[in-house]
Amino acid sequence: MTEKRCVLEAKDLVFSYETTPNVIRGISMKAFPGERIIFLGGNGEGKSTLLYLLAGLFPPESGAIEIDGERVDPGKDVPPHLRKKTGFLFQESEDQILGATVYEDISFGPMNMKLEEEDIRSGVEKAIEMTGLEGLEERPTHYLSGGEKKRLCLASTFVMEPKILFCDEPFNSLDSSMKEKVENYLWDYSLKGNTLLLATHDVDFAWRFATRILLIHGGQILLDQAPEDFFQHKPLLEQVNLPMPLLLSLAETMGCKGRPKTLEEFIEEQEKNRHRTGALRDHV
Amino acid sequence: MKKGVILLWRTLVYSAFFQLLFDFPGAVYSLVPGAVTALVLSTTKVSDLMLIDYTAYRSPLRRIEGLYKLIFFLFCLLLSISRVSGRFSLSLFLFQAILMIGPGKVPLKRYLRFLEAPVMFLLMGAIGIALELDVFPLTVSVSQASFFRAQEVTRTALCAISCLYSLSLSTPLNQLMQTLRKIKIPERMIELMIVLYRYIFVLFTMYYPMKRALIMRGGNNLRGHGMLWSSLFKRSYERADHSMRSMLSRGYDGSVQFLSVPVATARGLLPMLVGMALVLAGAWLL
Repeated sequence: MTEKRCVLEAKDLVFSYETTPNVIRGISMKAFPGERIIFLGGNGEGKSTLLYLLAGLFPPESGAIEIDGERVDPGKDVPPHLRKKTGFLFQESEDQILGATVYEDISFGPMNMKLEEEDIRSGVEKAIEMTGLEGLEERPTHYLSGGEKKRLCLASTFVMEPKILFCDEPFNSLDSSMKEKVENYLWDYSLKGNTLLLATHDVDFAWRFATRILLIHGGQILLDQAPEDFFQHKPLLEQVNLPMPLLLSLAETMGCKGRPKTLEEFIEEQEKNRHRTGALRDHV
Repeated sequence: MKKGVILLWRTLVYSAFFQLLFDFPGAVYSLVPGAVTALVLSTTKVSDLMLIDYTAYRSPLRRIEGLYKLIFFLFCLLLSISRVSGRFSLSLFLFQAILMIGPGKVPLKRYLRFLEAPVMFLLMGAIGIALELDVFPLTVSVSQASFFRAQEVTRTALCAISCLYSLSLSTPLNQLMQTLRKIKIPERMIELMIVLYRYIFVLFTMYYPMKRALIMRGGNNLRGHGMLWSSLFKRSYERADHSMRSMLSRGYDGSVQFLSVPVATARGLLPMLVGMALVLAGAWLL
C-alpha cells in the first residue's frame, strides 16, 4: 500500500521572540490532503506562532518546513509558486484587508500571482459568490461590518485556491449566525480535498469539525489524536484548563452511550437512552 | 452656555470672512450671512472629516469617468489660481458649491462643515496679509492696498479649495488611484497613497475605542491623551507588522496592484465639455 503524500511537514521547529524565549520547542508534524487539523491550547501557548511558522511567515530558529514536498529555505521568503499553495486567515480582519473596495481587496492576491486579467476576474467573482458578498463589490472596505470583513478575508484567501489554509481564531468577534456561515465555508473548502489548519479556543467547534486535534502547551505538542481519542484524556485536559465539549459532557452526564457531535446526534442519543432506560425499567 | 459661545464665535468668524469676500458697504451687512451660516452649522452634528470619503462613495457623480472629473476640476483650479478677477473667483466658487449640493447630492450642512476648517485657515492668513506692522514707532495698521491684497488672496484660495473639494467629494479614492495610474503617475507614489489611505481608517478604528475607554476611566486629560497617543503609536506599529505578514501571505512581491469592478462605459464626456465651456464663458465675461 502506498503512503499518502503529505502536503505540509514540519521538522523540529524551534522559535523564540526577542522578548519571550522558546515559544515553540521542537515541534514536528505532518498534514495530509483533506485533513482538518485544530490546534487547541490556552492563551500564549504558541498556537498562532506555530501557524505563522508553518505558513512560512516567520523564519524558524532551527528546524525545517516542507510545503507540498518542497523545502522552504530557512531565512528566505516562501517562493511565489509555494505561496500560491497556502492561504492565511488572520485573527484580526483589519490586518488582512488592504484594498479600498471589496472587489479590489480580493483581486490583490491573484494580481500578485501575475495571472491573466480574465482569470483574475472570474476568480474574484467566484470568491464573491462563495462568501455571499454579492452587491458589496464596490463598497469601501472600511464601511463593512465585522462579519462582512471576515467574509471578505475568507474571499481574499479562497480566491488564491490554496491547497493548505491556515486560520488563526477564525470566529474571533463574530456573532453566532456569522460563526455558522464561516464554519460552513470552511466545511465546503475542506470537502474539496484541501487541508485546513486552525488555531482556536473553541472546543465545541474542534470536537465537531476536526479530523485531528493537537494540544499545544508550552510550545510543544502534548497530544495529537482524532477528536474521539483526544477527549478521552480528561485528566490531562483538566491539567491544561481545557474544558470538555458541551454536547459530549451532556451526553456523558445523561448516561448516553454514543458520543454526539451535533445537536441532532445528541437528540437521537437521548431518544435511544430513553428507550434503553424505559426497557430496563420494564424489565425490572 | 458653551453652545452660545460657539455660536457667537462662529458668527463673528463667518461675518469677518463674508466681509472679506464680498466687501459689503458696512460690516453690519456681513453679520446676516455670518449668523445664518453659524446657525446652520450649529444644527448639525456632523463633525467627522472622514465623511468626505463617505460622501464621495455615495455621490451620483462617482459614476462619471474619473479622468474627465480630474481634467475638469484641474482646469477650474488652474483658472482660479490664474486670478482672472475677484468676481470670477467668487462665481466659480458658487458654481462648485451648486454643482456639489445639486447633482452631487451633498447636504448643504455637510458642505458648509467641510469648508469650516479651510475658512479658519484662510481667515487667519488674511489677517496676516492685511495687517501692516511698523517697528519704529510700533504701529499696527490695515491699509486699503493690504486689505485688497488679503481679499484677493482669500477669494482665490477659497475658489481653489472648492475645486479640490469638488474633486474629493465626487471621486472615491480608488477611482482617483485608477485615474492617476492612467496618467502614469509613478507607481510608488500611488502605492504609498493606497497604504496611507487604508491606514488612516485602521488608525481610526483603533483610536475611537481607546478614546472611549480613556473617557470611561476618567483619563480625559493631558496625561491620559499622552498615554493614548503613545499606545496608539505602538499598536499601529504592531498592526503594520501584521499587515505586512498578511500581504506576504497573499504573495506580495513589492508592488501593490488591484483590479477594480469593470465600468460599462466611460461616461461624462459631454457634461465635462459643457462645464468647461461654462467656466470659460464665465472667465471671459467676469
